[in-house]
Amino acid sequence: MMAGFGRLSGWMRGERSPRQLFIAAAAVFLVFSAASSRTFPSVANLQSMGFQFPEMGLLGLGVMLSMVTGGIDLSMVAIADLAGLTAAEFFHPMAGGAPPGGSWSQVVVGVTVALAVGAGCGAVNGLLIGGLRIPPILATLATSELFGGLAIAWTGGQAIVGLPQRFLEIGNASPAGVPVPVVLFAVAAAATAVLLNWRRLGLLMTLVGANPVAAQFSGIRALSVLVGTYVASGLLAALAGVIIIARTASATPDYGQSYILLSVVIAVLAGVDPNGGFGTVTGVVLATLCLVMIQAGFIGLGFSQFLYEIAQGGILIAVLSFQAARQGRRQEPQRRRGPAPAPPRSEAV
Amino acid sequence: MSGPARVLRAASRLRGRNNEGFVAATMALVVVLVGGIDSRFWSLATVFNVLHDSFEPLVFSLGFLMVLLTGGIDVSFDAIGIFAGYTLSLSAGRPWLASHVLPAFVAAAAIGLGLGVVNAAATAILRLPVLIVTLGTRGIIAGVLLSAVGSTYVSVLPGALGAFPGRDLIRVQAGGGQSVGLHVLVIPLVLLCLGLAFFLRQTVLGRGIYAVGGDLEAARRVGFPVRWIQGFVLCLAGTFAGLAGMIHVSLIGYGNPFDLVGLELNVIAAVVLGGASIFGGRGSVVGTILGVLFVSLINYSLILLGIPSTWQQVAIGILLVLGILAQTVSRRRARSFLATGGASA
Repeated sequence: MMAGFGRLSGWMRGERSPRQLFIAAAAVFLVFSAASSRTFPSVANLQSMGFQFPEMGLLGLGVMLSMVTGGIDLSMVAIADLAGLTAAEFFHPMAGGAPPGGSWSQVVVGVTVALAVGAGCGAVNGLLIGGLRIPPILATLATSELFGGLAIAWTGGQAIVGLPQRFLEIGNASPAGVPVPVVLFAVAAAATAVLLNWRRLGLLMTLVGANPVAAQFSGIRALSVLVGTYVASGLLAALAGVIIIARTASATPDYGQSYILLSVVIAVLAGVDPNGGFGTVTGVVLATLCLVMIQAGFIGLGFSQFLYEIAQGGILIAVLSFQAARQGRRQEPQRRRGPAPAPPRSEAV
Repeated sequence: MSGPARVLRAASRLRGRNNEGFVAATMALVVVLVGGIDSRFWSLATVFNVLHDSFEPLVFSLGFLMVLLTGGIDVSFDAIGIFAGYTLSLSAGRPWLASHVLPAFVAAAAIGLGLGVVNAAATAILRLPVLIVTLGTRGIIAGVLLSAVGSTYVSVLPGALGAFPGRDLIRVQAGGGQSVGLHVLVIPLVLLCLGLAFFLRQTVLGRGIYAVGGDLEAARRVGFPVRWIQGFVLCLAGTFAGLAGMIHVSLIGYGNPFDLVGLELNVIAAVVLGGASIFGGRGSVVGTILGVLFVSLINYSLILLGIPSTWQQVAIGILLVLGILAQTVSRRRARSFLATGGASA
């Protein structure tokens, strides 16, 4: 009863809502706008950030989904590379020399092929995790090597260039001033939010992540839930891969290795519970925005790229220790009153 | 007990506590198969080459293993390694480094220890999981290295460090008039492995590391200083990472501050292949050595067989899937055996 009341009032105070992150994002925006008032809040700068943040955000969304089920998806970058490369290989024979325009139907088919690859890779992950019950961090570590290795072996490590012009517009055009990647990201984020909050699968994912044993005894089939989860994160990764190759006009088989840990940073910063059961799309969007704004702001101020890495690490630790301190304060009185707290779960992710 | 059951039991003893035997058997199989295809493979040159390729990942892996045994995942070791290695490559011309390589390794270990202390302090003060703390500190360490220490390529290492790659104990002739040497580093590394294995198996602190990873609460109630042990392994891992970074720089013969990034997953893969549990409490020095050697052996075999190096990662990926699968299945069988009181296996 007391615990229930404490939780309710905690929720009312916004304990787990992304309010802090919203304030942080606004503060970052204001600080950099004040520091370089000419360049930072300009349309050009906002657009340039708009081209950068969707790929990071998509990877963050995928990791968030896997974390909600109590897992983690380390293979997203490899899936993005493999899916992007498949699309490029699909376009390549058509290009045949001079970069042609390509028709809309070709673009649609190419993107569909990439998404299918992403879904397939995700299904492999889901089967390994749900069917063979391999710990997610190990399964996706292995498939990350496997999918990434396939991408490298396919082209012999070479990048593929010469993509049709119409396809490149996915990554570079901004009709009515809004970059296409932002539109794609918004659609994907909305779809993820619907999946997580209003679909049966989303509820089952949360239940499996919050308490796997209880979920099992409630008759929830973890296999189908986990396959669904990792197919969804595979689709998000594939979309990120499409945006990456369209933006850079080339498909590189080992692009973005540093994104693997970055996507984990985003998810954790977004307040996703690595032990499962909780995660929000809003949190991921805000966390990604924060990091991208800081990166752009540092570049605008002429700081080195390396200082941004320091800032990124510092922010992660600062935000999390702040959250932990708040949670600790909240738990202290309960610990004295109630029964002994549950033993801490494994700290390995 | 029927015949097949006895065979199974004998096989399970050979397999080792953490599947070490499984890795060893697979390695033997690879050696037989590859040698059958190309008999040049069965030579001392192969042994020396595989050992040479294993030095640096082995030291990283042993450090990573220490933290993993307590249930933490340290992803900052590559940043620490290149921080130490690159910093010393910058000062390789100093007189105190010119005559012998030992001061360089001691200094690298000290730098690694210092950064390990930072990790340990951050984990203890913030009370956050090791993975999250080291995700943060790796960015900070890499950023400080590139913005404060330097970001340019050091192409020539003067003095003793420059001559270090050629310091072989013995050399043997390989095919094509080339000779392959057994590098002198093999001696300190064997001593390091022996010492670490003794430490983990025979000392109270070593058993405490397993205890913390096996069951945190039980370790606390038995009286192990849990927080100190968690900090200690991070310091140890930092020291090892510093040493490994120095090995990397000294063997490769140049200092590149952008090296080693993205190495995390390969080291984790080798340690996991060697039978360590990703949740802590299980794993051994022998297993880790086997895991690292196995990865080097596969890479070397692929080169010898003329398979494009681009397929290496696929091969490692498949191996990793199979290795993890074998472990998961055998562990589950062991657990169900216990659960049913040994009535049916």
